[in-house]
Amino acid sequence: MIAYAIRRVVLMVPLLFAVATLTFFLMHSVEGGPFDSDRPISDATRARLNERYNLDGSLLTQYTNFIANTAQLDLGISTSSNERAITDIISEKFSVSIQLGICAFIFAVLLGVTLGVVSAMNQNGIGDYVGVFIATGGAALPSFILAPFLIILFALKLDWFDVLGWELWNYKKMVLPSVALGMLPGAFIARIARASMLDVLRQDYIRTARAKGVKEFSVITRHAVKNAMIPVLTVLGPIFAGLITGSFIIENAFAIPGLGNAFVSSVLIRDYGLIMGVTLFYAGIIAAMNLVVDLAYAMADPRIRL
Amino acid sequence: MTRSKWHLLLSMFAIFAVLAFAAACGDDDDDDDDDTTASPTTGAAASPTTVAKPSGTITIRSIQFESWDPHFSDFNQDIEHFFMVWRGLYHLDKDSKPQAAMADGAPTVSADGKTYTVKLKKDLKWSDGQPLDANDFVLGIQRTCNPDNAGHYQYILTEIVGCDAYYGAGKKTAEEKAALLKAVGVRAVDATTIEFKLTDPVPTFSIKLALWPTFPVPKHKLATVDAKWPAPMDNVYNGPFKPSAYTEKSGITLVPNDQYTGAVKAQVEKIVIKYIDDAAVALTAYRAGEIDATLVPSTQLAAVKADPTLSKELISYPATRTRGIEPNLKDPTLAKLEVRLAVSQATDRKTLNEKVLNSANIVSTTWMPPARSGTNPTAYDAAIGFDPVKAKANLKKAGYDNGAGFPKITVLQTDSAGNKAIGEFLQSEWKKHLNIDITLEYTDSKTRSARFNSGDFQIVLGGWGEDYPDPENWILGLYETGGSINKQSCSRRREAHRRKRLRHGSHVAGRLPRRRQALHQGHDRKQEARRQAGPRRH
Repeated sequence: MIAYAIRRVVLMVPLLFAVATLTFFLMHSVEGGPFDSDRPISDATRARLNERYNLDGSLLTQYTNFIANTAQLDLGISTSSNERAITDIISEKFSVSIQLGICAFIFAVLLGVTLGVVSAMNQNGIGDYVGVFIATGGAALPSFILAPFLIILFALKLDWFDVLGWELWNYKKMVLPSVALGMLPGAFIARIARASMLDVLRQDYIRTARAKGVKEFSVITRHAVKNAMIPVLTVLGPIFAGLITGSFIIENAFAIPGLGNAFVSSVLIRDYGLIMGVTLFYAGIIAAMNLVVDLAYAMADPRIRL
Repeated sequence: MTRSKWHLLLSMFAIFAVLAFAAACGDDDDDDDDDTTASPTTGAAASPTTVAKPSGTITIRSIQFESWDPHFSDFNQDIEHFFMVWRGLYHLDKDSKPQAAMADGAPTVSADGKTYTVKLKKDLKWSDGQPLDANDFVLGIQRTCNPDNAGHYQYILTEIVGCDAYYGAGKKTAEEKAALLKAVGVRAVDATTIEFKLTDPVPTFSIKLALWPTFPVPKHKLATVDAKWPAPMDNVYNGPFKPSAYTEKSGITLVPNDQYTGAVKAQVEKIVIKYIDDAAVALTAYRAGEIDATLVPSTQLAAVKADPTLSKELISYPATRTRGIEPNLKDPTLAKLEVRLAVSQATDRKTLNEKVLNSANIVSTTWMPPARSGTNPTAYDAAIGFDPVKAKANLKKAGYDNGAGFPKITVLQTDSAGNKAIGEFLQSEWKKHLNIDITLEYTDSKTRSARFNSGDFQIVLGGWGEDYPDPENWILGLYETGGSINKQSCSRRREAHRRKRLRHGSHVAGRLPRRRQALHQGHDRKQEARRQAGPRRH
């Protein structure tokens, strides 16, 4: 397994190189640059700005410089964030996004697994209908609808929570963004958990356990849920990666200074350094999470050999 | 100070003069439906009065600044911040008149108008207690002229001897740059006296000395013109407030600067600025009581006006901005004066403002707002205002009788709900009155700006927000042949001559005497008239 992990880590290098190259040429092919603003600037100022940010060379020169700097883990500076180092910005924003992501992830797993298990155990019963309804509703409601809905109901009408910002351990600022972000993956998990649970409940070993007189609670928790969670585990990695890397819609709706907001904003304002930095960071995170899932999968199911 | 005490400034955003359509031969500010604040030089909220002791906290919404460097930035949100924490030699009062701030009275101007001498107040200090002297102001000017700093607003200082030459020295050697730096026409005569040498007499120079590109540099923090501008919490300040906490993309907290010696002291103990990109989110936060003031997006203005509580808290005030459509005069169809007149006369600005923009604007056919031109917003209604009959006649005169054979015209806009509504209104109006079809093209802001800057457009939805309160800011660079930001390819060779005449109308202490003001007004009237008559204007 260690050799497998090392091989996957080494393979991430060409992957990141390919992502960097593709992103570099894509972003430079898009119309508009970092200095195009509503208020036009003179040619002299544009020339000075290009010199200041080393954007005055040919595209090939810029690409070569970029790859050389990136290889030394120097992602440059942001043209839109007071010239801060890209690495500092990513680190700062990611620390917020990961907090939000973890909270949303916990909510999604609790919601999804609970709904999935309850639905499966009450197939075609009221519990199943309620669970499927919530899962379907959660999947159907886009976050840009859900977030304002939650704000209007729980912040404006009931005044239970705040509208703005994120603050760890301050439930008034944590609950609504976490729910809004975690609802969709929670619904997704619920559907997978339900299907998997139904499948497991029909297995021979469950019937055997019941025939042996094992208490129903133990049958469900020790035999059924544990085995039903293997397919769920498969999707948890990408879901976790998706949640901790931030969400533009949720961060924008609650004015949270996270990485998702920074990433989308960087594209809109053509902050080349930030676009490249965040893209590479995302690629690295997703590759790493896929590796973690593969390793966890092997640990959870002894039949799988890496 | 409590929320109620602030009398809740759920503010406004009334763009001053919208839709100077045919008059629009300027630029900038495609600004969408929401919120950008008015130019910092325009009077907005009421002028504060002096109180004995600051008290209370006010929480307001803003947008994250892009740069904290006043000698570099040109972004509205940045400039709003700058004026809270720094001061120049002068500061514009509520009537947009320069009043002494760090300076000890008005400048002394030489007989030829080319040398300004400014005395500083005594014992000025930065917020950390270090002395602030003439060399700090000299360094500030030099930083803005510094090619390596690449200041967006260097053009404001173009009249200072040597500033342009130094700014243009980006590719020169360090020695050459050093020589050019020495030649920049600003020096500290002594610790409290600064001398500016100008290439020409510039009556607006005192106003410019109130703007952020001329703000001082704390030389104990930055020893040279090439040194990096410190971050908010590492910097020092000479304005009424200074930051006490800052988190990027989250907010900044300002507290009174004890060293500030200005006439009007800080009135609040704390200003909490929360960075909220989305104006609609800010309005929700305002409703929830999390912020004390915000701007209302025009798309929600009707709902706010209909709300019994919010409508009482809504404050509207004019801003010196103009919105309009801007034609590219290199386009063969739009180069015809009659076509431009036709589309202008086929546009019912009043209905547009009432039905589409929720009456957030003041309808106008002038380019400059009355505060600058002295004219009435309706001054040119007879010439370019809504008149479908004249519109049809003009289109016929241009060779497109009842729209026959009219080429496809595309209106380029930034993608936003407000702009879409405007675009659809124009499409409908021009079809109804002129029987012409236009294509609406929506892009992101950067693409729109890039295409506007490169001349790759036919018509854009744009406008202008002034940088400083003088009529020249509505003309310079925008209209003359080869103007540095003349993106519509306006061609007026006589513009330069007229501009010179205007600028030399007076050079007494930088104020606008009556004669010069009158000249400007006359100029504006002639301009508008020529926009109708001179095909080269549009």
